[in-house]
Amino acid sequence: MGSSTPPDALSDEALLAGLTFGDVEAGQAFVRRFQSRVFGLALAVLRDPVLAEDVAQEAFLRAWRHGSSYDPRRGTVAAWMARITRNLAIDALRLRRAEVMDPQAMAAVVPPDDASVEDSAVTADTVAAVRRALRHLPDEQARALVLAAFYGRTAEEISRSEAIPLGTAKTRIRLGLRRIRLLLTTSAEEG
Amino acid sequence: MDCSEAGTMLDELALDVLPGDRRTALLDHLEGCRGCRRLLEELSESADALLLAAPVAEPPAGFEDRVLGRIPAVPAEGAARRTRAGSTWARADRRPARIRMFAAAAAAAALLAVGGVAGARLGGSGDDREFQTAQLISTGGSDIGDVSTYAGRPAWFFMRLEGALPNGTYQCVLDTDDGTVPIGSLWAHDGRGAWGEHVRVDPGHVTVARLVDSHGTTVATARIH
Repeated sequence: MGSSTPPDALSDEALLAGLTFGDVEAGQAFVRRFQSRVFGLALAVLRDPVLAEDVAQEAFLRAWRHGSSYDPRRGTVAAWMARITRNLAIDALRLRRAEVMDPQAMAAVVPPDDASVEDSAVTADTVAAVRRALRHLPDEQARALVLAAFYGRTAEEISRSEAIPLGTAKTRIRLGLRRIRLLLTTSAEEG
Repeated sequence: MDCSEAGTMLDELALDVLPGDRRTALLDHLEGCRGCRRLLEELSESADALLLAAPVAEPPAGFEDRVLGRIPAVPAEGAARRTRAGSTWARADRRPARIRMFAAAAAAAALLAVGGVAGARLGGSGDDREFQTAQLISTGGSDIGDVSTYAGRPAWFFMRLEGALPNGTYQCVLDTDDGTVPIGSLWAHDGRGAWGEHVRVDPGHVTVARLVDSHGTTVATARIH
């Protein structure tokens, strides 16, 4: 290993370790690496830049505080940060009692294909494929899936807001997510 | 609960929207059902992929400084409590006298450990300490991960496994100018695992980091210097 490695070249896991250790340079590199994704997700859910920044800041504080609970066998650091951000954004929505059932909800979290993706080429392909799959789902399935995945709505809540039977809401969520799973497992086999 | 009933709830669990009462019953079923656990893993990966497909957006100017200004340059308290409760290795009394390891750490899950410098925040300026990364090479010559070190005060090591090793627990060992030091355990599952720890040994004195299996056989090596 003779030469030094710039912090920006370290793995996501190593930077998270450094952040949790209270390390200045690793913490800076970690925030730089994830800030646009964390803020972007918070903004997509909340559609309020000020509130989104509050949520994004809190997400990084949580990462520092709970970094030791991150388990690489359960997913990537990026996915772990996304879940933290999503849960904080949902909490913020509930505090404001915000209504997210308007048609803009879908557009906010599922951008067009040419929206920027800050990631490796492989991940960028996956992101584009997931967005395409979401757009090609039947509207009612995509809507139920987005409401559950991004806004934390339970099947019961979706059933009430969409005025559909509970079983139908559960089926829409299930079919939507299975479609995404099929896409990802097929991509993995082809790749 | 049978697999058919579980299958109607797995998606909601993966999306973290399953109400508590049904969640408990489903978790009981998952405890004893490998097939449903496997499906849940795939669905959870799909749920993660959805979140990662959200648009990225640059935060307002100064965001990085504001975040770092809120994060103390010390280890998290929760991690310290969890570490003390679950610490299973690397205690001072087990170590060779000439190589002292920092005593604060090592969770049972063996991922990240703690220790640090009080009174500062991450928003402060960095210093001239060095990161280094070396490839972790299996005995068969494959690249199966990496080892990162940070030569600060205290220094830390981080080992990441992303390659084919049998499931199980492996000892992380440092070969130094003064001898061999076991510094922790890495739990590998499906070829993935990670472990990190603060150490008081100077990374400049470490020549090799190794992973050793339960039979004492070295299965992977990273050459540090």
